Amino acid sequence: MSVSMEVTPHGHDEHAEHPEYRRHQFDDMDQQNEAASLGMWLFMLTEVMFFGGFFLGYSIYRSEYYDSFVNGSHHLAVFLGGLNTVVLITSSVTMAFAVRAAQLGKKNHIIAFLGTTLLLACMFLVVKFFEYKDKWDHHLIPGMDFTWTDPGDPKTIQLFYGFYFCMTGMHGLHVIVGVGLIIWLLVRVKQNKFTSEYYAPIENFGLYWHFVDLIWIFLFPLLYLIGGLHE
Amino acid sequence: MSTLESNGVVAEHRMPRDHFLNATHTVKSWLLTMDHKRVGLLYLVSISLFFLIGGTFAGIIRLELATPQADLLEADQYNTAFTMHGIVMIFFFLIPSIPAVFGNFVMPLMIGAKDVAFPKLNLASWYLYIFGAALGVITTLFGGVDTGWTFYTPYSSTYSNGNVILAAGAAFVIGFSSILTGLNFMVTIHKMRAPGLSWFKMPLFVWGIYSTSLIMVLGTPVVAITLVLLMVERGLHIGIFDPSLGGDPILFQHLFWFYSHPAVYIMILPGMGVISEVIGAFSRKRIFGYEFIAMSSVAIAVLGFFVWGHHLFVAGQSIYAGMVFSFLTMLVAVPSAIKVFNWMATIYKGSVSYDTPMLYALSFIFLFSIGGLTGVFLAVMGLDIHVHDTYFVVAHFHYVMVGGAISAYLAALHFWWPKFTGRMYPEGWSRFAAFMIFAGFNLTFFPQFIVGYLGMPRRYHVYPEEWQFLNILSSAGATVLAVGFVIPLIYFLWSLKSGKASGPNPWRATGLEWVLSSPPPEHNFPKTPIVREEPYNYGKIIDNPAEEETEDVEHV
Amino acid sequence: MAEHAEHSGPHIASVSNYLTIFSLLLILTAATVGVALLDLGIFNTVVALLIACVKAMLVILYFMHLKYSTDQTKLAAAGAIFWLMILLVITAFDYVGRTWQHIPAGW
Repeated sequence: MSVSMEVTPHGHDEHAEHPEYRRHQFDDMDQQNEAASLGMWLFMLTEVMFFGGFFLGYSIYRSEYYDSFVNGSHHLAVFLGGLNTVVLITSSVTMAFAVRAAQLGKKNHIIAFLGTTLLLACMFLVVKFFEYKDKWDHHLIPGMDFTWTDPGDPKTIQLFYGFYFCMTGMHGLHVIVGVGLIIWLLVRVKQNKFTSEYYAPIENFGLYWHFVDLIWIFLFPLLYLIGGLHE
Repeated sequence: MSTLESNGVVAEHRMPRDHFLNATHTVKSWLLTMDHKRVGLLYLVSISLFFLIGGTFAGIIRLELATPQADLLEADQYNTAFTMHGIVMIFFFLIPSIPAVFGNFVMPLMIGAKDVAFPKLNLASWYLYIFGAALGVITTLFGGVDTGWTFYTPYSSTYSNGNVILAAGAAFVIGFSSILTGLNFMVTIHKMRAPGLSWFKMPLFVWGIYSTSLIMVLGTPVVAITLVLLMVERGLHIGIFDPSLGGDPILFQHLFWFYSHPAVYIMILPGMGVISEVIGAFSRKRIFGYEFIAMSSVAIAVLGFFVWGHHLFVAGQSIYAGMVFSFLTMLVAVPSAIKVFNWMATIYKGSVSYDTPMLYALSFIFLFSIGGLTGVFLAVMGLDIHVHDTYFVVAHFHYVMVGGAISAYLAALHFWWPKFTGRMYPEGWSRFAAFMIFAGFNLTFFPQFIVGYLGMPRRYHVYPEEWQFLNILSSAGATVLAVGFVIPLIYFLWSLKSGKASGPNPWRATGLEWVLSSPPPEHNFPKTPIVREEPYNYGKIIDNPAEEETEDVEHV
Repeated sequence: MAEHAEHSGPHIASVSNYLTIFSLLLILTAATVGVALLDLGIFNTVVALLIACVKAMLVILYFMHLKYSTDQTKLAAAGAIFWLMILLVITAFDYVGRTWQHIPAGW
């Protein structure tokens, strides 16, 4: 293959000329940012397929055991589920504002918005904790002395709760990871690592956080509102 | 290796003075490397180790099957042997193999990049591989698992006495190694190609790696969540896959094969990419139908996601779904056939030489065709009813996975060994090993088509007397095959110290990786190359390849 | 350089844009609960999912900036949905097909 080697602006003796946040393997910041963004979107793709397996199992069993899913769903606290939906949506907004502040280079605003997102995320986890505790108190954890006293078939209602815990549990894990990442971002923001030229980690974390919100947007109606709320 | 110059003088090559292997010497510099070339070599060592382990399990299986009775192993132990053989060979060897070793080492060089897009993530992928493989070793030490590598429920979720959670955990962890590698490669190929290197100027190996990465990214997460469900079911017995609790075992199979079928294309597509490179180089001819081969790789990756139900024909799947899957499986054979025809057209009227990589490539075409055709037979529901779970299936997948993928892996190893190490291996021994592997392989697996068609079931440690002769042939073949596999291990290690220096381009092949010295410099290209020409322009090759002390390469 | 979009700078959304989307999301959440209070039979599920899809689109297009991203990114996002559909739809076809064969359920 015939190839000409031409000098690019960046040779190895010009280290001092590019900022520390530009990685060596990239030729310029545009390339680096595009690569980081594409990488994060592809990761979102894998997460969609990851949760997709749960959604498949859920949809098969819901169609097979609809009445049990309705019965199981009625024990869930719609108010808490709805509250958590609002909490996550709000955290998505504050995250979007955090990215916007990063684009504008406003450090204090970034900290404020990231901090609010963090608080809302923790609030979500606290609510979830109380929900789970309620299940524990009522022996509604599958495989751990599951006892169903309300109307309905306990065997298949246990299946519903299996999916409830798997799906909200996996989602909750992702929230916890998100909490850790926000803290890490906050530390770096305080250390002045970001500028209005370089804020890709904040933006890409934003993508992750919105994804976490997206999953919950579907989990809420699919778990809490099965069969409607009319009796 | 020496070159015959036009004036009749034989020129010897020398190893370059500075390259990526001797740039730093500490163990820490290897274990914390962010050089894709070193990561590729880390994988090479690891997967070779696991190939030996998986091969040992195979030896145990063939030893038991040499006689119809159970004289070596009891049923449970035999079940563990074939399960560990499958898990190790598929998850710890085949799925990483070509992508993790050659994708990592060669692909960035082929596109003129300084490294992959995310070098730290690349290193993390290797550590995830090691962690998952370690869990697999721990599983074995605790007595292994006996469910088959397919982990079918409810046996795996409820009844097995093996270490299901550990084994599933190992596969789960190693899955993420695969996902992150695929993600890294996709971003690298999209964003880091050298100026002028458009998609249809890329080497076909890169197309193969890209298509493989598509599958890794889209499919592996599904098996990950499936393993989570399995581990939850195993631990808590909530009934997801247990019929007595309302669960459906076939749901597990759907979820499992949604990934595991595309996974077989993860195992073969990189190999097909290698074959294109080798056939071009050793026919000294432009690849015939380059665009078709490129697009067929993507077609296989995409179509491969629509056919998983052909593993469930007799499982209890609806017959209407079976018909749809059967038809779609026929379709996926077409792009593979397109490749085979294009390779043959490339060789025809080419200037063919029979160096070891080419021997493996020719072997690939022959053995993969047999394996692939028998796959089409299996796609026919009417035939599958009779041969499902027999040795016919075992022979089919070994023809494609060993005859195909491993032939391609060995072709790649022999083709790029000079690039990795700067050394040549002894050609006489390598050709001898290639013939031994070819002979041993066919002796092992062809009788299995016959005995499977006659009805011998798979995953059984005993069988009726009348099939012993064919089983003895198979076990004898396995011995020959094993020796054949050990020989390259010996001469490759030998070549590290005593092999002749290869020079930058011993095969006079096209491709950016051959422009660099052998071994390449630590930071790959001193200046980013600009690509102007078509790939595989073998007609225009000039006879003196670039010399070793290359800092300023003008052209090749 | 390979595949670099020539743009003058990233799109910076306005405060009012984000607040509008936020309000829409809250309204739609309330609607989800409201619709659940009505008895629409099978359509309870359909409507709930449709509303969820609309909310998802708002988050993806505006919060995740997909509306202002490259075609490549849009393809990746569409690909994710498409692949999920392959998994869900084709598997569902097996279960539907079993009802045509009158295979008794309750495995």
